[in-house]
Amino acid sequence: MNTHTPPHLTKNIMEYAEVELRPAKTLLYFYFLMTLGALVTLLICPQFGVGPIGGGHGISGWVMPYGAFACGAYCGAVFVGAGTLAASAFLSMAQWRWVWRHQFLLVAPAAFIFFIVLMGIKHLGRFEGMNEGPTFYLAWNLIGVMTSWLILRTMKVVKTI
Amino acid sequence: MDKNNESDEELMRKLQLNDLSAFELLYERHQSRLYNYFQARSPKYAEDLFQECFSRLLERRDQWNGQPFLAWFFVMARNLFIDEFRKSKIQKTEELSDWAENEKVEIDQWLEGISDESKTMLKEHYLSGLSYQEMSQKYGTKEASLRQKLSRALQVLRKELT
Repeated sequence: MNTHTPPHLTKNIMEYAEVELRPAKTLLYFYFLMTLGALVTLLICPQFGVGPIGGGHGISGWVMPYGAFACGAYCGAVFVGAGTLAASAFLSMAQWRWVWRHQFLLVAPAAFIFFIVLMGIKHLGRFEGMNEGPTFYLAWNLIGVMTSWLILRTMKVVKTI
Repeated sequence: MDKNNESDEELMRKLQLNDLSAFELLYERHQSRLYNYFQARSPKYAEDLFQECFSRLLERRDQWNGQPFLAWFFVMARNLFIDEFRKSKIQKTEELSDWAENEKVEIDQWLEGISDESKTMLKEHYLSGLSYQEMSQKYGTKEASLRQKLSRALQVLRKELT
């Protein structure tokens, strides 16, 4: 028996080889999409008082009475989670597979960089945050990364169906 | 040096340095053999398994440590098939019997370099499950010499596989 390999398989494998052996493009694309998705959420949920249409707490007002941890968790989940969701939705299958393989290595530094940049903008622009403190910051980073991980897991199921 | 003249192992070393053209050449050389391998075992899942196998080759390129490429690659293919089989993706009995038949043909090919007597002994011991004691009674030889014969046959088989 000698069967020819279907061309679409060759195409898929070569696309994955390109991503796996030259990952810089995928990495930048992933971070670009993630940043874009995260920035969109600022319209409805300002972070650390930072938002394009002023500070305040946007849609997250309802979570304020539950304390700093709940506030940080909510904000981190919305910001980092939305970024991950946007990035996951627009990646090709080959790019997605590569991202899935490196999930924490990609998402955790991104969340931390987002955090540092937002804090920097907050201090430079003297924006007023609410409920902030070490507990808030810890929850923001921790739950942000965990939400991203959950989104990646969900997307894995969706993309393999 | 022209890449076409390079051995698989040399191409693997280049692949470990992220050389895309080395991968393309390895793919070119082995794609049809691998595709036929999976087609013969599970036509329904051949495409998925084929794609997964080359993806794993890329992802696990750093785990290759200089052993003969083809043996390493096909052990990976076989493990992949077995994994999928265990996950019950491939359930149909007919596929199982096709696979078993193909494995049998492959085992017979590997056994070609071994004497008929040793071949029978190997099959009886490892495939039919006869103990050394049962076999020594059957052949009228001592257990020790039986073990020696089987060990020599295994060495030949090992050579054949690498």
